[in-house]
Amino acid sequence: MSRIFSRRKILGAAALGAAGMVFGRKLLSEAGEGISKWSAGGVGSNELPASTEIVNAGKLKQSFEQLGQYIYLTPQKLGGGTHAVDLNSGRTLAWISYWNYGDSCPISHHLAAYPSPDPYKGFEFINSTQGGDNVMIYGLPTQIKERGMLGKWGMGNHIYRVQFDGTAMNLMEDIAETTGIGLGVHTTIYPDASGFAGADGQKDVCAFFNRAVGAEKTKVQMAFRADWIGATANGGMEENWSKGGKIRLTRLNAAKETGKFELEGTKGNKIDWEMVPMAEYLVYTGQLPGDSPRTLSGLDAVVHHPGGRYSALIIRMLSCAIIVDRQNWEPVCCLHCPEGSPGNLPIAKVSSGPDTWEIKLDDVKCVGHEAGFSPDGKSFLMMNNIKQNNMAVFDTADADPRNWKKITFVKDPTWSGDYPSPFHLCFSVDGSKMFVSVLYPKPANSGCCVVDTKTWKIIKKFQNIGPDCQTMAVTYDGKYVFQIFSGFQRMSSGAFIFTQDTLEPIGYLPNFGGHHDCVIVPTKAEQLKNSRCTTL
Amino acid sequence: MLSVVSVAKNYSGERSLDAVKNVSLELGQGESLAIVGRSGSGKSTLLGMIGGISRPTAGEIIIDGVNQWSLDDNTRAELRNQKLGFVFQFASLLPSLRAIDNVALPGLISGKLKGEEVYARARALLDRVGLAHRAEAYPGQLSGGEQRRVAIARALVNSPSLLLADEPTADLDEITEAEILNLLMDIHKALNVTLVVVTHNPEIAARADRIMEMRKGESFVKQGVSKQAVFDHAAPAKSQTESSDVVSPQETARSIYEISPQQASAHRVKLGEGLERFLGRFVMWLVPTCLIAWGLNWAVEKYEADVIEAKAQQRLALEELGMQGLRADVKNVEFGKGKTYLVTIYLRNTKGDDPLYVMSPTFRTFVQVGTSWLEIPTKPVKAASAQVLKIAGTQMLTYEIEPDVPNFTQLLPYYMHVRFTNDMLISPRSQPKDDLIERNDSYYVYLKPHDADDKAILGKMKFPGKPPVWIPMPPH
Repeated sequence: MSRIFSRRKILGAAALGAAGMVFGRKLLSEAGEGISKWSAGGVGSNELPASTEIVNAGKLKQSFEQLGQYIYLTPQKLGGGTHAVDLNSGRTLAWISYWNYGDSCPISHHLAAYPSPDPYKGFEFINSTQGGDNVMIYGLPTQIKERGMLGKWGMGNHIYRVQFDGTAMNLMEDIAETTGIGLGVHTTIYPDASGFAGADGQKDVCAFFNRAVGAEKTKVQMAFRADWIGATANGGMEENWSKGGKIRLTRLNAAKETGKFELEGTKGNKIDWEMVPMAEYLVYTGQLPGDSPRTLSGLDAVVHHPGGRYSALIIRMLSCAIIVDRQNWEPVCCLHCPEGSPGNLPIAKVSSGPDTWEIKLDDVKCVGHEAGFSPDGKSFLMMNNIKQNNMAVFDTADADPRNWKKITFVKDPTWSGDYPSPFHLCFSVDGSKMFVSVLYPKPANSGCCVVDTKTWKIIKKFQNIGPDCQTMAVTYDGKYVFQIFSGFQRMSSGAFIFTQDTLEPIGYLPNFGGHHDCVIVPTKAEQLKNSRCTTL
Repeated sequence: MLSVVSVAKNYSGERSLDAVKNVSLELGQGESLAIVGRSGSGKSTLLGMIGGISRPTAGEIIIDGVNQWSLDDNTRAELRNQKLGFVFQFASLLPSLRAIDNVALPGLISGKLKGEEVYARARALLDRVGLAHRAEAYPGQLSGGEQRRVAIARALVNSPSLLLADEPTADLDEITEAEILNLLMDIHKALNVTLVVVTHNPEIAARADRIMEMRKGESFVKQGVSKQAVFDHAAPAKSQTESSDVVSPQETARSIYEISPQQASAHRVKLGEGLERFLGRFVMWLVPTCLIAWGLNWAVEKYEADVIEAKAQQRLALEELGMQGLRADVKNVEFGKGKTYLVTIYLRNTKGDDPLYVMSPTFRTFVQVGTSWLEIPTKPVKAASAQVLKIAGTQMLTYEIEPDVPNFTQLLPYYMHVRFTNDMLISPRSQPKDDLIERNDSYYVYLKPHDADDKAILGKMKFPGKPPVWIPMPPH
């Protein structure tokens, strides 16, 4: 062996290499010290268990795993359409773009799918579109209004019923046009798949529809409007809500002459733009224009108890949920979610022509947002936001909603101030875990967390997923969770995937344009317990 | 045993030279002959002809009754291999073979014996020349005297009848020369080998049974040189022939050349053993070298991966710090002097006690005109806004903008659509090195022009009060 490569030199180099390893490990360990550490916390506190694991999802790459024989629906929001993606092959099976049907400003917003025994051969879904003026709140230097595209055919608030026939998507019906009720936000299928509900926080209106098939036309089963009457009607805007008042729930009726409601397009709007997260601030400061912001309750969604009888009307400005009995279409009670407020408020009927009920709230400690029932129907949760930043947990096991009780709150020490805030939720198929998207303001990436439904403690966090994490969905075989992120209408978007059971991150699926919601088409009615039915 | 009959060697050419002229001699088995003479007298030429190296131009050389120069080349080479041993002026050992290999090599070439037998014999010969302990040494590791001993052993490995030595002690010191000489004479006596030694040293010659002097190619028989004088110089290496334990030549030869199966098996040699040994040694070096190289490579790779990972972690931590550790947005917009507005933005450290440093926040303002953004004059109200900012809690920065744009686009009636951009360099340290991240924010608002008519606005839009100066777009 030459002098250049003497044994001594090689051993020396090896020793240096070993030293380098040790040094490298030290570097690594020191680099990791900047990451937040979490301490253990007891039940009911906002501290996390010591075992809570935190995963930085930003390190993961795209996923191309076969994710099962499922079809995954994703509305594009400003893209104006919806895609159906085969999770088994990664192919987009079909898509629809509402521009092509004469909608001059379609903002494909939320959707819910009816179950189909073989979605690959066909299924139907309900797809709402936002009010057209919402295109102007994202900072786009658009001339869409100047060019007249927000007029009659661009007002938005359509409720499209769309059929996938195994080959292509077909627009079957604009339910808003059929019924005269245009609602642009959440849609939720009934647990027995016999109909659906829709709502819109700009109008404070929700409606319940039967299920039309094929060429049939949809009919309204019931519609309500929730108005807020502040106790200090002439005070400051924020006091209009914080000082308490009454919710007045009114049954809406169709005009006898036309058989339709007068709520199509922008008709009935109390505010000009959508109740986006934190838009409540703009209402408080008087910076949100509209016909009647003071009466705004923020009735933005309906979720259904999996038992099939009750539905919850989600009232955002007041962080409460009015429980409605769908057997008789009567409200039963009101779950009030803020910490420190009574949990179950009575409802009093004050008029029969039209039917009108009122709920008295002594104060409103915070606004609320999304909500949902657990698959077994024994729990109801709703987000408290801005002034409180937690999730109220109600025990809903009792058959009578008037006995449902607020029992605890899901908290996180970082959920302080207005951001980050718990946003959307869904449950694992076995109900043992709840998945919650956690919203950060732009340009920060949002994340999601996993909550143990026995302790209501956060057991895992996926951070740094992407900007604007929205709704979540689960595959009905109990394997995967999908977290859609929409990129605030112009930044990066995709779907982050992790396993339901082991909570292991899988990676990302691409999507095609700011998708705002995600729904996996069920194959059986019982799968609706884990679909866009019980949760948002 | 050896009969040289009228041998002559003439080198023809421009000047013909008779190197050896008509030399004859007879040597019996076990006799020794010293050929002496001055340089150029023909000694080595004669020895070369006897040794079958140089063909005589006349005469015959008969070894054990065979005229070797009547044989073809192959037969003569075989004869040389089997009957002759040659010790040259210089040891001429193969440097890449051990001493034992050099000795064994002629035996292995002859093919008469098995490899292990040859090596057993070689060991016996090395023992005989006093180098048993140096058998594994390479020529470069041996002294000159030791090399000569190895050469003598090599010359004897095929049990030659005739040992030819051409000035075997050339370039050796006096004592070593005497040792080698003693050794040669001892072996000659002990093995009863016929010895012809060429030397110009008369003391060496005196030890031979007979002396033949060469002068200008001719031979002359010399007598009467004292042998005792030579022995006296060889005191350090006592001759075995003077030992009290006198061993007969036959016994000595038997001990060297007759190898028992046990002895042979002790030196078992396989074909390619040397190659195997070489490969073994190569592998012996290669394996640890490869292991060390692999380990080194692994360590370096691991180190580099760890460094890369550490940098990636640092990057992620920086991203988290820059994106989630800092909240920034428009706090307020109010009318300023003339057509100006005062825009206040906040920078809030959401990470608690550790400060953030924001370098060179560049705040710019644009107004929508058509489908484009037109930049308008923007300047910080306080000089501090342009410096490195230490953000421990919430810090406000105020800028004055002057959107004097007559043809702005009205997405909302009468209102300007305005975009603020805020480019920041963020670091956890005031003197960052590579722990720096850039963040580019955009905030969108609607601005009421100074000269807008509130009544006209309220005629187009409804507000719960006076139309606000600005309408922020939620960070959604």
